[in-house]
Amino acid sequence: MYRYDNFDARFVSERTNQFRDQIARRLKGELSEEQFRPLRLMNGVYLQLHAYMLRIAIPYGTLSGAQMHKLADIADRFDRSYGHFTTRQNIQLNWMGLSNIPDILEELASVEMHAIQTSGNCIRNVTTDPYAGAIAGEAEDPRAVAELIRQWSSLHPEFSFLPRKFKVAITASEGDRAAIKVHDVGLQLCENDAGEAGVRVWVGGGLGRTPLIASVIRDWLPLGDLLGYLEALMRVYNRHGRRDNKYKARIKILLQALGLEELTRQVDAEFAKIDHIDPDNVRSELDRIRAFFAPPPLEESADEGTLQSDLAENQAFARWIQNNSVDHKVPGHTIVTISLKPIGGIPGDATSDQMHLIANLATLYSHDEIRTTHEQNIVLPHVRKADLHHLYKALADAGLGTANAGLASDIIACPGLDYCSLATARSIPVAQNISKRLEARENDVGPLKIKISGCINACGHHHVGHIGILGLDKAGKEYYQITLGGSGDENASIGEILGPGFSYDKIDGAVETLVDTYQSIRTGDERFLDTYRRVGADPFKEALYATA
Amino acid sequence: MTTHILTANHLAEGHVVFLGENGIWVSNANHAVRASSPEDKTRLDQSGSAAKAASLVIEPYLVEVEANENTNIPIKTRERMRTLGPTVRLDLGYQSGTWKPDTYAYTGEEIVQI
Amino acid sequence: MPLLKGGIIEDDSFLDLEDGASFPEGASVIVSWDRLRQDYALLAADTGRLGVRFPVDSDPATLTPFVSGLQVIALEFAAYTDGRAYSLARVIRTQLGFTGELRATGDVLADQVAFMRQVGFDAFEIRSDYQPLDIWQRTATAMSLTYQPDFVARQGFAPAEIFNKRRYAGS
Repeated sequence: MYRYDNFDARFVSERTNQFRDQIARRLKGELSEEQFRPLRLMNGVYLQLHAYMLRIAIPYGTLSGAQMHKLADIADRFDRSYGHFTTRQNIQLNWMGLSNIPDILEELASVEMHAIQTSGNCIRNVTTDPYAGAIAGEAEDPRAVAELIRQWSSLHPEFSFLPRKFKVAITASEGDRAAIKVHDVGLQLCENDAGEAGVRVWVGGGLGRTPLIASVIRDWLPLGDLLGYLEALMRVYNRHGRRDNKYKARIKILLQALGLEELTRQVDAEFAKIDHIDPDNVRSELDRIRAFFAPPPLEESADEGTLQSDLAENQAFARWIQNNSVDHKVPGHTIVTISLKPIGGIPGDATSDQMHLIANLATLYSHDEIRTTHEQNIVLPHVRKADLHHLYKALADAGLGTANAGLASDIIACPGLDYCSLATARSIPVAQNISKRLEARENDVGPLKIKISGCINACGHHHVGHIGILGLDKAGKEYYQITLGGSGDENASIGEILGPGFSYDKIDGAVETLVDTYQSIRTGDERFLDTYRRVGADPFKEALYATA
Repeated sequence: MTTHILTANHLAEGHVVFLGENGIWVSNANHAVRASSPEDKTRLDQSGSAAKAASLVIEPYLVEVEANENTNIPIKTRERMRTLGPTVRLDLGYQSGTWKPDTYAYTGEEIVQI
Repeated sequence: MPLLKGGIIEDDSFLDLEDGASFPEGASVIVSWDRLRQDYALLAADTGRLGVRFPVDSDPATLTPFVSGLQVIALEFAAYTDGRAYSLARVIRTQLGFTGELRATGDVLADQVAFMRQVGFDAFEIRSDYQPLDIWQRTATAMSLTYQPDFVARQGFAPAEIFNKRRYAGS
């Protein structure tokens, strides 16, 4: 894992003091709310429905045990003893007072964490594949480049007041678990024909009101040029992105307006003029960072202990292994997903006790490494097969053993109207109802991604759900629109609206009807998404609306 | 004729507040001052702006309520939730009965803790 | 309007000239971008110093023919959340090679001055939300480090470049 040097530590500490001073000036009335709002947002502080919310950055979703312990301690001391893991691999605390926040940031800094740029019209937390560094077939561990971009984008003087927020995701695999094609910039680490390390740059993807799949703006770029290129691209966006309408301000709209060819021309022209970022300097910094992401010392031992007999004896454990584990690149090891989607529970929430437990288990069984995922789960990336049964038992005892990763009840849901001041409808209870309804047969249903957003801003990624649900307000009542056929992976697609929406009481039943329909028409081991892509929307429409 | 109450969030502590009698901001919407006439609503609005300018609250606005004998029930789901807490965690927020933030008032000159 | 320059607050020695107003001979004036292009020959021939209010939605490359004759380029922040002037300032300094005064006008907040200095501004108009000088100084020096290569302020307090420090200090 990356460790701060004295510069990083001083930077975060000065930033905390700066915000402490700004909060003090705000409380004294020396800064108006209008002046203060963007300052607090850039430090992760929102005003939500019930109180302030603090969004803490978990850069590229990587945490140590000590960091997870600290998050739990903060939740206990300053909040209501739980946290909410988000689709940007961050964590949110929902019951914050403004006056406590500087102390919390100081606590975070003590474990090399912060809340910088988790909101605001700036470059946000860079997200990546939760299996980074553990899965086979990667060009390299993408977290080193993610850390380079984290540093470069931190308090960037030119790009802190962009037309709108800016999200970057990075992957090093062909199989995309970071949803890079629905980000403002998606980076795919890959080699060129000569075998040099570099990156393919995608631009203009996004969800929200205008969901779009990104386009390739640069097929390959040497890593030494990455920061210069990003500076050029951000500058073109900062100068020309729309500022008159916040719903048309993302770079995807600029791409639409200019066309890919013209945007490429402008970015290339700007890039050609940038000569102050020395590629050697970038490479040297990247090499320094890479050393922190050296793989942990895993023994290539095939010794599985009593795994096979445990699997034979414990059916629940066997199902958990089947659904919640993936092969590690080092034989004898496994990448484990800890589901934060207990049946009927709140997607992405973990109590402070659960967070402490996860931290302890990571230290014991996963070389002290934890990942958060954009699907709002936790991953332990480096677990010996021989330890899996112990790990499972400890998790299951704490309500963390749900064997549903990738299944129907593994639902992404934004906080929705229960917490969010922008939401138009609730998301969480809809997820809870669907999860309860589909639990019994989800293993038979197979891979199914259901994603729920409580407003058009699409924080629940409904556009890329196999089944997407968008909660809206219709004459004071919550109602829910269904989209089908979305996907955020390497074959990304935007879901299509099926037809009229459903009331709060009817939406989970409607989803069940869709699943019934799929099960009746699928062939072989076809996934829901494959069936939809084969047959289209008609059979689903008919099932939902014909009898209505 | 519609009835409104004034709500906001406490600047320093963040919690939801309602303007009660004598300029005191309270956490229970049922104790909020009601306004039905346009004049009363304007007066409430002005109290909100003054408390905002005094750095006591942020984002003050009027909320339409169903005014019963002892209760003010907001018409909109969102606003009802602000008086109670999340529907998915009945142990949190005002509905829990365990969350009792301090009460503050703006006297027109200073902020006092009640 | 008072200006923050080089850590002190001073009076503006330039006159903000309205379009159509005649300019006093030998005076220091700041004119609109339209006026500059229209009357450049006349303005440049005068002995007084010359500045321009350059609109942030214009292409900075169009300033090129005028750069050598300008002592001040003023960029307006219509709102402090409108970040276009940061990019313009950057281009004017690094690509047009302008070495005169780059002035931030409009909605200039103490809390943004550090960023403005890093992209090349060196004079700041202080409007009605005037705050005591110590706050401007405190906010300008709150961050002593920057991760961005070559984004250091031109004069006075300059944050250190972390990447370079690491590379050359071997830390």
